[in-house]
Amino acid sequence: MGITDAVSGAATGGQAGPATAGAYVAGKEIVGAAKNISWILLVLGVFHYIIRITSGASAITLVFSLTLCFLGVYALSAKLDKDRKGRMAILIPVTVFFVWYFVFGANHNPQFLIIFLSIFFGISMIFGLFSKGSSFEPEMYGFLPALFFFLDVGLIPFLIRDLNLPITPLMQNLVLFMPWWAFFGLLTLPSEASDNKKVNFLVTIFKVVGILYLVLVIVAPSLPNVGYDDSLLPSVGELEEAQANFRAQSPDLENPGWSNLKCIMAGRFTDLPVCIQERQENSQLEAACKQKGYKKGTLAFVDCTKEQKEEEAKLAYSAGGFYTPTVKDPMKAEIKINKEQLISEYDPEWGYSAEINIINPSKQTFKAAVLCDFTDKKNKKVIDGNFDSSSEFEISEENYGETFICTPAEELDGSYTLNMTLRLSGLTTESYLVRAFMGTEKEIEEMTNQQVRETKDEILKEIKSANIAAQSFSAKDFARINYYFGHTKSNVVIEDKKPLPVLVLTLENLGSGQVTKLENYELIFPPGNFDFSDPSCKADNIQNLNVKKKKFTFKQCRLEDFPYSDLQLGDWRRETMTAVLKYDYQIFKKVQISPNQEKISLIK
Amino acid sequence: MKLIKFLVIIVLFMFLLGCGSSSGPKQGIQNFKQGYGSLDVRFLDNSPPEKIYQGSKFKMIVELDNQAAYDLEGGQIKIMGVDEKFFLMSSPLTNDFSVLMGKSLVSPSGEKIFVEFDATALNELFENAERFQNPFFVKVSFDSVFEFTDTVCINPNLYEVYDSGCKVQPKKSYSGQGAPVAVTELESVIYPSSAGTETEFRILVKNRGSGKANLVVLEGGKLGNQELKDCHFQNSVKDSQGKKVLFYKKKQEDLLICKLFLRDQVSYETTLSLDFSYNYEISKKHQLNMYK
Repeated sequence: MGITDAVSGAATGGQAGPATAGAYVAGKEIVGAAKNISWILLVLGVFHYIIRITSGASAITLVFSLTLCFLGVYALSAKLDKDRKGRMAILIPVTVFFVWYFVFGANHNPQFLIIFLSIFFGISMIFGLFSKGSSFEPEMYGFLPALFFFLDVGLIPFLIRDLNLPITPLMQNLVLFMPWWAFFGLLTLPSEASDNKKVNFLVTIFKVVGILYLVLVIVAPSLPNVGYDDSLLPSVGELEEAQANFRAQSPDLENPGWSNLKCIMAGRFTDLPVCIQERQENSQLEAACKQKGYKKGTLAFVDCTKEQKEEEAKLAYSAGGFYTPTVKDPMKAEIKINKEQLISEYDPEWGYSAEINIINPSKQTFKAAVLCDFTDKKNKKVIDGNFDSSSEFEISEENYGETFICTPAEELDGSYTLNMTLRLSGLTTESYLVRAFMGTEKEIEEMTNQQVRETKDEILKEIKSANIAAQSFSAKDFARINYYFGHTKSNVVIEDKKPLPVLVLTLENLGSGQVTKLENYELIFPPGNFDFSDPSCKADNIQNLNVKKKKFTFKQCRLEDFPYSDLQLGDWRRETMTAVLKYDYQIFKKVQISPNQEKISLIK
Repeated sequence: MKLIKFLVIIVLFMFLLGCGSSSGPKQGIQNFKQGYGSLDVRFLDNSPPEKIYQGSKFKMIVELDNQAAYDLEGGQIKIMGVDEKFFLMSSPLTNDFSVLMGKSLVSPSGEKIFVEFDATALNELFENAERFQNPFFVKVSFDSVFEFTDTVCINPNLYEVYDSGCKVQPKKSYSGQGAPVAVTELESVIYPSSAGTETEFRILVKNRGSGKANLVVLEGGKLGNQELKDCHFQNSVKDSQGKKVLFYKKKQEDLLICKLFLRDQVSYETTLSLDFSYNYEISKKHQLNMYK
């Protein structure tokens, strides 16, 4: 029995009864609801999401999104009980947004934004004048469809391309895995979306969850310590691994959102990022001391945190860096062990297979070796493992995949840890740093100090508009050199003034494995007189360095002379430096095995 | 019907207005020394190209068009901010030009030159980068002059009731002398002193161009055929006898005060002429876009 049948049946009064009346009411609900454009938007939004997930972004999904955006305007105006004029007012910010995004390419130059927003404000005022102020409210609401459109199609590319932000996989997935238009349809549903209380309750719950999700997406980029981790559209598994690594590195770090809230409650609005950073650092210190066994509130705990702080202060002098996917795809290596072989009935004599996968986007040539052994959990005895084929090989291709079978040298019976190690030798990672060198020689002798300062300020503005990053950057390889070069850590401008700039080199282990050996490094400077107090600053063999720490500073030098003495006040040069690190790396995989010889012999 | 006739009349009227008076042959000599003409700096279209591909050579051609009424001398054009890891400049980053003629009868549209910079886009684009954007600046600096001339009324008789001479205009405004730096206001103050009557000219010199004026120097001044010896800028540089001023970025103007003791007792009109020289700088931002 169809819906219309139910309705007409009820209307004619034929076969009256509770079932028919119920069907009639349900039918009326559905028909009524279907008429509501919000439901249409919700359904189409889900459909749009499915198309996007299955076939990816395309012109079709973009046009679809545009259509849904305008549908959203209608839905919003219906929700707000706005007439045609109100709808026009809602359309203003949407149209302005489209002009900004498509015509002006999302230009975020401050000077342009000032002019553009002034024009928008003027148009808004004109509308306000004609509507006697009643158009302002719907105009404010009009930003919502524009925001959703931006979230749906534009936010990720904008953050990466235009703001050069290496956004986290978490952020990417939060934005990419959300059916934004379906959610918008949900938001614009009336509070009494249907006559069914349960349905209304569910709708309300989803609305609340959706709003919290939206807030998180908007706030997340500003949360510190979420980390400048990145990759190109990671899989869910990679995201989980990244999150697990992050949690492993800082298990007791205070939740950044909680730090944010605590700082706001403490009234530290003017230095909110500083407050958050302090809380994060303190929680890290406390966690380290708790791990050492100190109890919070004791004198020993206080001493411990002081010691930790001193250690951290040393690290604070270290250079930071970030990775960006624009340099190249990250180098990856993975060991996968067949889980089916981990059961107790599996005979170790058959060997344990380890699948080695290496992704080498830049096709650099290096050596690799696979090793395995078995550690008895009871007596800690290490039993060697042998491979049936050569476990040493050279890699120069982009993708390498091979399976190795590891057989124990002795019979195994009991609980063991199978340790698989992949050693990579002769890896190279490059990291880059951009700096601006500013002249200070007065061309006009009559210049006063104030005029010199003003001229410098002008040049600094110019340099700022060139968007030079303070930190060095690289691809997301296994390890790299972070370095900064300047009068201070964050200053990208180098002048001919005392004290001359320092160069600080820090080694950072980016992966979950271990740097086993540092071969050497080299800093490639642009043409110019780059002489340092220590000649080994530019290049050195660093084989004796202790590489166990995740991050450590291994070189600090001061520049002897300003490299461009002919630069005059008002002149500046932009230069990019390259640091090349050669090193060996290894990654591990440990699994627990418990071969039971009794069971094995039964099977045999 | 009436409405259509009315509309036709209106349209015709607008056409007539739009045509305006015919520009027949200009009477007399065209005065170039007005307005705030300056050096126009622009990049030629497609130089540099909108898209520069890795490994390709390209040119950056800067057009320098002197729209001032005076010659520019000692010019220098510099390119700043190009990242040489990505772009190799084959030409020097600094180019000099000695003289660029201003607008005159000989050259009514001013002299125009093209300065070329050769460069190569190196194969250094990062593996995953689709493009590399390198904002950069071109800066042109030059020395030039401008002259200010105007007829002023000198009336030493402050209390003369029946004045048969000229009338002193206490304050006058000007719309430029054909250079970016110009005299924009002139205030005449006449006051009695112990030895007679003194006149003070308060001349506002201002940068009205889009660039930045640096050193402005009063080269000479005359009132009639009398040299103005007592002239000084309000914020003059030290050891310059008040003749030089260095304009600040924020305050691109200064007041020149010239004083003269009047010998005559009758009012008269005469010419006030001042010669200035200045150093100027114009900066333009552009961008190199390298693609794979």
